[in-house]
Amino acid sequence: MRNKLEKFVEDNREAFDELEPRSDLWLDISLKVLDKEEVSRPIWFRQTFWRYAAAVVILLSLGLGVFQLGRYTQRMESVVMEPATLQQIAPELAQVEAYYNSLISEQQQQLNDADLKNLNADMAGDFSRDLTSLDSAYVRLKRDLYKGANKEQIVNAMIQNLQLRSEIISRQIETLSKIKTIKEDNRKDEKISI
Amino acid sequence: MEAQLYYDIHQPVVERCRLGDRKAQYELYKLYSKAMLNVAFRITNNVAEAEDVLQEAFLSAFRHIHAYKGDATFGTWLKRIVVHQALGVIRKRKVHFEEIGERDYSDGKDQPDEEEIGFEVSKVRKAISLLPDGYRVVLSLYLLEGYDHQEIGEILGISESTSKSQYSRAKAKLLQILS
Repeated sequence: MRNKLEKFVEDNREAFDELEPRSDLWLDISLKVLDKEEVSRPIWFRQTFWRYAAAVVILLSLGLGVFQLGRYTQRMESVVMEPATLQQIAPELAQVEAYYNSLISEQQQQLNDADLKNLNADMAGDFSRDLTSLDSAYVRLKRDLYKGANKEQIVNAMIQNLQLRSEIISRQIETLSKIKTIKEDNRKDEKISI
Repeated sequence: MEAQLYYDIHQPVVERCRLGDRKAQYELYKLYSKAMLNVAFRITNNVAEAEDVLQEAFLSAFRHIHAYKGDATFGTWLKRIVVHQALGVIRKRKVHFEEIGERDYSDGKDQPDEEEIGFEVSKVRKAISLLPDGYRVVLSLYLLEGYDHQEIGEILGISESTSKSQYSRAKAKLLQILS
């Protein structure tokens, strides 16, 4: 007979199952069954590790969010109108822009102190027209930059634009302070002459 | 097979289990845990791994009991789960079922005659545990778990003829060990 082994196994099948499950195996299973039934959250969340990991990630991103918000408001205070994405497109420009913006606003403050009324109408008109055209040129350049066109050239043009603005204002301040000195001298002269 | 008997007797327990009855779960465990532990052991050849497999298989069966449609007996369904879990464990050992078949043990030279061997359960059991992983799995699935070669082919992802030749080589090797 060819199948003696098969026949033997069939006849003694029960005896081949010799192992007995250890007595506490059911306890392990039933505890796990309980655990899985009671908590109906998604599987990944039940594992303690992931719960902690999620907590850490949330805390970190909250912290980072607060930190970034703080930095952002700081920047908004010192720098007028800096777009959030400039930092990503041209970080070097963002720095230069921040520098000039604070310089220009300082100069503008000085200019106000120097009192624009002292300028004659023609000069004041030219001055503000120059600044306005530089301003709109700057806005145009920035728009091109966001479109992704020839980054290096545009950034250079933008920096030149900022330099030019700063120069114009500082020349204006110079002119005004000269006028002021002259007027004051005149007044002194008048007083003396009285 | 005895599983056919379970169908009628244990169907009510399975139904209660479906409703989440914990006593019913324990009843099913008591009914099947021994048989399933031995199925898992014959595949993994390691008691601790077999216990892990048994645990995971019962958990998986309870969790997915709604997927049991009743078209086979509960025992047959559960056994499939156990076999798959156990195979998952030994696949991590990089067992390749076809490659082992390349080595030929059945060239018939010193093939012992099956008729002359006096079989004893404990000796056969021991000899099975001495077989290489690939041989032991195919031999156990066919000889002890009652799967035919087509089913074994599906379970292991090999062809029916590979399962057949694997089995005859495994059997030849087993007889060699026993003689």
